[in-house]
This record gives sequence, C-alpha cells and structure tokens, in this order.
Amino acid sequence: MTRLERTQRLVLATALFVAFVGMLWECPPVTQLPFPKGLSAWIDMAPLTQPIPRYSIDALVGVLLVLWALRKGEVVIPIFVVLLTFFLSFIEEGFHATTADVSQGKSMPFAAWIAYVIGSQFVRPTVDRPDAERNGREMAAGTVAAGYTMAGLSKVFRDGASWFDGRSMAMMIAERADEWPDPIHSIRVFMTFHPGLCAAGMGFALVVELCGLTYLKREWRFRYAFATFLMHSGIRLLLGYFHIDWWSNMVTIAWWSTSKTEAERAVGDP
Amino acid sequence: MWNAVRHLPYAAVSCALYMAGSVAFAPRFPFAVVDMYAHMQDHHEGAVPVFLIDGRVADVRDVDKIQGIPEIAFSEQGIPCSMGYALDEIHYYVAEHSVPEDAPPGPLKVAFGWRRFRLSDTGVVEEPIRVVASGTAHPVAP
Repeated sequence: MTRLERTQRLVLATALFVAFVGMLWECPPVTQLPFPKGLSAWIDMAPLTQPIPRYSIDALVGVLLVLWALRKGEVVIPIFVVLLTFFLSFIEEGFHATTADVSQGKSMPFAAWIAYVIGSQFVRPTVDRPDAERNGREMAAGTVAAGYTMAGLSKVFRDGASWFDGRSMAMMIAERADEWPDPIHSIRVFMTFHPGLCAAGMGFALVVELCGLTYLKREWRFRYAFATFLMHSGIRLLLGYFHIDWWSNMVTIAWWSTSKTEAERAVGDP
Repeated sequence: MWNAVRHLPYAAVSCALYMAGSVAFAPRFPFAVVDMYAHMQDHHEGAVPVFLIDGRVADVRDVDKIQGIPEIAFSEQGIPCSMGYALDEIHYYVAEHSVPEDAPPGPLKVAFGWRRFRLSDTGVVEEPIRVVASGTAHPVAP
C-alpha cells in the first residue's frame, strides 16, 4: 500500500469516525426520554448511552477504522462496523420519539461504507477494473450521488413550484434568528425581510441537489463536493445546520475514488 | 453476459440500487430519503419554544429544582414548530430537573411558552410570547 492510499484511507476513516460519533451523540440518555419507543421501550438501553460505554464504543470504532485504514482485517472490520452501526441506528430510531428524520440522515455515510464493503469484498474484479477496491470505491460514490439526488427529488415531488416561495424560508430563518449573536443574527434578520433572496438560495440548493448524479463521474466529484460545500455553508449561516458528516464523507470519497488503486497503477490504467 | 458485466458502471448501478431501496424501505437503515426542508409549503406561521426566568427569555440550564411546569406543557399539538430539537432540549432538562409539587418553591419565577411568528405583506412579524405553564425554580449554584 502506498503512502497516498494509506493517507486517503485514514482521512476517510476519520470522516466515518466523525459520522459515527455524531450518530451516537444523537442518542440522548434514555432516562431523559419521556416516551421511548421500539426496542428501547422493551429493553433498558440506558447503560449504552452513559458516558463511559458511549466513549468506549466510539474508541472501539475509531481503533477498528484505523486498523482498516492500515489494511488490517480487510473483510472482518468493515462488516463488524456495519453491524454495530446498524444496531446503534436501530436503538437511536427507538430513542427519537418524534425526530426519526435525524437518524435517517445520519445513516448516509454508512450507506456509502456498506456499498464499499459489498463492492470491494463481494463483487468480482473485471478487466476494466482490475481490482475489487475500485468497484467498492465507485459503489460508495454511487450511494452519495443517490442521497443528494433523492433529497432534491423529494422537494420537487412534495413541494413542487411552491418550494420557491421564499416567504416560507424567511419564516424558518426568523425562527432561528435569535440563536446566534451578531453578525449572524443581523444577516438572518435581513434575510427575513427579503424573501426574494431566500427564494434564490432555495433555487441554488435545489439545483445542487438535483445535480447529484454528476458525482457519478469521477472527474466531477471534487467540483460537486465544492458546490455542496457552498450549499451547506448557506444552510449553516441561515438555519444553523452544517451536516459535517455528510459533507466530509463526500469530499473524502471524492479524493479516495479519483486516485488510482494499486492494481490500476500496476497495469497502467489511465 | 460476463463481457457486459465487466463494463458495468458500478457507481451508476449502486446509485440506482440505493435509490430503489430507499423508495421501498426508507427509513430502515441503511436506506434513507433525506427529505429535510421538503415540507416548506404553507409554512407561513412559526413558533419557537422559549424558557423564561423572571419574565425574560433565558437559558433553561441556569435554573434547577423546577416546579410547576407539567409534561403536557411541551406538547406540540397545534403549534407550527419546526424546531423540535429546541423543544426537546428544554423538555428533557425540565423533566430531569423537576422537583415534586410539595417541595419548597424556589425564589425565581419561571415559565415555558411559545414565541409566535406570522407572515405579513412586509415580512415576518413577531407576536407576543404566549406562556403555556409557569412555576418556580432555584438558580444554579455557580
């Protein structure tokens, strides 16, 4: 394994680790939840959400991801991490009485990871792609493209033309205006009185999401990641959310998938 | 057959499979249709949960031993709230730091309520805070 590939894997492992920690962080201590549902209504999951077990699980996943980055346990580690993530996301869904959308979004980086595991471990290498590693990387990129495209399509099908009603976004921004001090507070207040600007921003976001399929093309991945960075920065500024786990995953997959694998270098694949 | 498979664009195949899986199985892990902000139409009224200490909007974490604010006060029913996380935060804190009704009342007057917004021709208009429940609390020891 070259130094570049090791670095790429370490960066991707870090992005996944951030996503994993974020997902676990979303699980509030079960004692604070008045209405647990699903698995947590039947089995007391409180011990898993306390600081020591929580940080121990985080540390375990961190060590496993680093080992994977160093190419140890190439098959076992990814499958174990997938199973652990599945289990925890199941718990999380049970914990969130009303906010299942949060756990939905959190699974996106792991959907890409699962696609990578399937592609790199279970799909046969081909002449065009001389090693399974390439298949895995491409399949991971495919799920990222699907995630963003579906986010755009859901707006088209649910809201249609009314998505461009900037007054709705102005209302959302107004609700969040007092969350931050100046200058962000002033910018948000300004936007609440300019629904036209809000509509323009919403149009930009929709175009970016609907262009998610451009991420399928290797040469376009960094450009698309930059466009999503602009979109997420706008959301962060005006609404307060950044979705760092999605975006970091997208950038690291872009970098990882645009460089050659060992086998591609060996056969001189362009 | 194999000749076709070896030219398969794996990224596109994975994309199509994940989309189909998400349409069929979301929100079951690992499938998801991230439809955040896709329910914007008619969001012409808004409400933000607020916690008041001595009549002023404040951080709920500044008080302890809260008394007089029941669970039902945190119901979102009929409230156009798009900030469930803010409501949860106040709700969880109050639930965890409440004391029984027969405990001695605290020196601070606290309340939970909604700051309401509506759209007008000139933009977003903020309405007076509507208090849902009030009680007492002790300040958090420094």
